[in-house]
Amino acid sequence: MTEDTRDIENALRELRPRALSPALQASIARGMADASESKRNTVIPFLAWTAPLAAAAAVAWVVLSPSETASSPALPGLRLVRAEQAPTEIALLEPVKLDDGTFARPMRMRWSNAAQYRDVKAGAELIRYAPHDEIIGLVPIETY
Amino acid sequence: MSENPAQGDWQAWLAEHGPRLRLIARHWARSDADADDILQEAFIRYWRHQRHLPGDPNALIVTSIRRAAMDLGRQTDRRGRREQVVAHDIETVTFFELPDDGRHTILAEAVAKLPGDQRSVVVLHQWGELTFAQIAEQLDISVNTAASRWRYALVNLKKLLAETLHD
Repeated sequence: MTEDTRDIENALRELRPRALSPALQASIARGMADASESKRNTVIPFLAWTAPLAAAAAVAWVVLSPSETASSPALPGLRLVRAEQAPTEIALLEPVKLDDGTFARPMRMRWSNAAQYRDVKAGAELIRYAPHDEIIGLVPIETY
Repeated sequence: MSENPAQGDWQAWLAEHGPRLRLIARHWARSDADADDILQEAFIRYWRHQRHLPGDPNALIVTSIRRAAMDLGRQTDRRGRREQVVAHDIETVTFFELPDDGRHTILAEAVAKLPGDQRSVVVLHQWGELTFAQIAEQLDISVNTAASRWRYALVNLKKLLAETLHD
């Protein structure tokens, strides 16, 4: 901006956009109400197909991924007496902006494996606990 | 637009920012009715799905308005170009609350006479509150081009005002 055009820029600032008409405000209010109703109606169908998908992905991940405790390795002198895996938790995290300018929600999966071993001779027990917390993918967010 | 739109209710947010956002919608629309439809579509989409996204919320909703305008434009084209209004026919005096002093009306009319590419930059920079970098992204031009269109627009406005006052 030069000195010559500063007055024009100041004059532009004085131009106030016209207020929204009452009809438009009412129309937007109706649209917001409809969107709320629509959202309530679509939550369950959305979960209906995403929840099994996420669960299947989690199971596949646990089964296919190499894990030390999933196979409960034999330890010399110790006998495996219990092995269990806690229910897997899957969460969609806050949106992030990717390098290409698009947005996505990271999908985090948490689970833990626990194995209990016993040394019969010494009468001692060893509990091996292995928590896992991994980002297993990105769910793209469509923006317009 | 400094406050986080995730806070507060949508009515208050729309009351504050709605007028300038509708002006942007009107710039990209073929009629006032289309501008209302575009703003409604873009605002609901933004408020429901995009206001929590990271980044500048102002740039996000301007993008939402542009996409809604493009969608509506395509639909209108498919309907056979009814009621088409070419860009240079836009009456920008309907964009503003004009006091009864004549000076502001002359300026609003001068904005209407700007070449379309310069008027886009003026609308997005002055009332869209976008930076030249954000305008460049919206219009798919370079930052330098956006800045130079702004400068040319100011010079042209000054010239148009001088001509009008001289007449």
